[in-house]
Amino acid sequence: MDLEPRINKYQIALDNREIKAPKRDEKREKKRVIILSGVASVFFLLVILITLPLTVLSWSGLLVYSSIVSLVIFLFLVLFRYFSILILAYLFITRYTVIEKKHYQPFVSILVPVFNEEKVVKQSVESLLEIDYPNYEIIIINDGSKDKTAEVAETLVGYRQGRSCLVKISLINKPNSGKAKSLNAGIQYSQAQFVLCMDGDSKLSSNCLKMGMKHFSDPAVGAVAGNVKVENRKKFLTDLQALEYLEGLNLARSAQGFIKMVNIIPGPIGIFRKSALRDVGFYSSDTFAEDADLTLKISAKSWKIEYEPNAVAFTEAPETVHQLLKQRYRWTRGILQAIRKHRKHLYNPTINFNNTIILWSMFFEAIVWPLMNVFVNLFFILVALTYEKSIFIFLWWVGLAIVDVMAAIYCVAAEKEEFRLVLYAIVYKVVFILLIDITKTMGTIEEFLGITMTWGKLERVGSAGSAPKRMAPAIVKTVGPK
Amino acid sequence: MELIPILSLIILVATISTFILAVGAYILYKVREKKGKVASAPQPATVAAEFITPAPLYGEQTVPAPQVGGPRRTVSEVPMQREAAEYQQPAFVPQQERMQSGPELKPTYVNSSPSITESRYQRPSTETRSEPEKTQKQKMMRYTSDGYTEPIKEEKKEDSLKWR
Repeated sequence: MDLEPRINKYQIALDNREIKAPKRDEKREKKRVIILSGVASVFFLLVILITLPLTVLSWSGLLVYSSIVSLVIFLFLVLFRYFSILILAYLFITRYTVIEKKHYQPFVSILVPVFNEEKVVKQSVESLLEIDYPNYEIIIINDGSKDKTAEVAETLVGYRQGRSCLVKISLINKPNSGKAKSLNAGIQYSQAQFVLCMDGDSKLSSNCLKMGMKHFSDPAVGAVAGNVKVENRKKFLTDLQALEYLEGLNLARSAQGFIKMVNIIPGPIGIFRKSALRDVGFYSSDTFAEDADLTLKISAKSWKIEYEPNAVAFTEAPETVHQLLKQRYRWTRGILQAIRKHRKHLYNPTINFNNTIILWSMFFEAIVWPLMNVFVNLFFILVALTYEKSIFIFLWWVGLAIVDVMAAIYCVAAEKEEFRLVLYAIVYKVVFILLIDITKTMGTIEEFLGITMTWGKLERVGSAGSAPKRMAPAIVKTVGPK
Repeated sequence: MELIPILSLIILVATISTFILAVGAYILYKVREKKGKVASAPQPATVAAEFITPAPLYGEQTVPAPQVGGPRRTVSEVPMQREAAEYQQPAFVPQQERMQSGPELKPTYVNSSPSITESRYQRPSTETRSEPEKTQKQKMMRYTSDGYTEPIKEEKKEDSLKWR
């Protein structure tokens, strides 16, 4: 059996076109928003001015009264959100445990887009050979890296012995044009009917394909969202992110999975039916959150999106505050751009009711929640500094910490995670979420004002490896060309 | 001193510090971002790239690659692959609007294309049919009265071999 075949290099032409959102008249939109918000503000001021003398309230009394009403509404929303997510996630796990889906193992292409990932690309690709699946290939897409990523990736090209089969590894070297276009290039050269899209720095669990592909036995399923976990732990900031991925992202995704309304197929692991991708015009690069945009497009075309908690991707989380905020700022603006792109679904539930619900929930998480959280904290700071009543901010924190600890215990138990992460729930809301929400608020304001932004690149340190041992993907012996 | 006022103070200080940290980090981010701004260029319809892939294994039969400088060829033109693609299509596809003028994303090779692997059990292309092919019209003539000649009469005319 020939395991050292010739390596062929071909000049190719990549399709750089994409379906773009209809052109926007931004000036007109802004003018309309300003006029509408101005008219609404004037109307509410007039209502207050006319009705205030008829009440017993003074101006200061009105301020206190409206703040208390806002806080009560926020508290209600917080509790409603927490408990509905917890209940739905519990129902999802219960159904997931009971219902067994039959095996479905068609040929799959794993697409690995890389940009300046020389430190991690080899480790990442080699971990893919550990996948327990009999029928897959790997396509690395080098998105015009400036370091030695191309050279490192070229040494990986060939046939290599995986855990269950001989795996073909190919490489596409292309000029830099972003993740969306890189994944489209991989889809263009993949011969499979299913593609797994991941990040260059992610590592996949060995059973991710086996578990993820089962859902595609239902021909109406267009995509499967995987479960993302933080790999580089044992640091304060990354441990907080590990908890956030568990409690904030995966728990919510489980709840969405139960009602078949997954709103974001995560970038580190998403499996797609190619016909669904073709149907929606593949990835678009007109937003900074191509995964959110693609999910909304797939959902809009009535394809089902499933969540598979056992298809796990380990990703390297930002280790500095600056990198973290940069990442979240991009996510926020990307999600807002995706919401704006699909806003007709927001206003018109008759097009696709599921998508309308998904978009409103995204709107709440991206705009309403962060603004309310920032407002509440500012209010309590003001109360503490002005009236010397710091007890209120303490009680607020106690309430949120209890809810967070409860949710963290549930998540840790459900996902068999490290118990020490529960301790971080005590400072989770008061430090971490507030930090993120302030960034989200800034991002929202900038997006509203239309300030341009660049992609930026998360600097990888290649330190991923401090994950719990039972989760860390192993590196296997390679057989192909060296 | 009571515990609750101390804890309240800690929470207050933590919240204010987080606010200051977040706003500071945001300003720093904006300052750094301004330094690395690049103007965006118009995007062409196609981008030249390089595809590096290993040659097929197991001595599989190959379809000869087109000559250099010939027309561009897509993998989907190979019948076996098309069949395989059709086989994996879902039985049920939700009613969706067809894409009007979007990308199809089929592999496009410039100058030369790889030898595309096919099944070993494919019928050899050199095989010739023993019987002359009948057109669809001729086949249908069996069931009509005009213009149809019976096969036995033809054999008699040839007067060469007799099948017993």
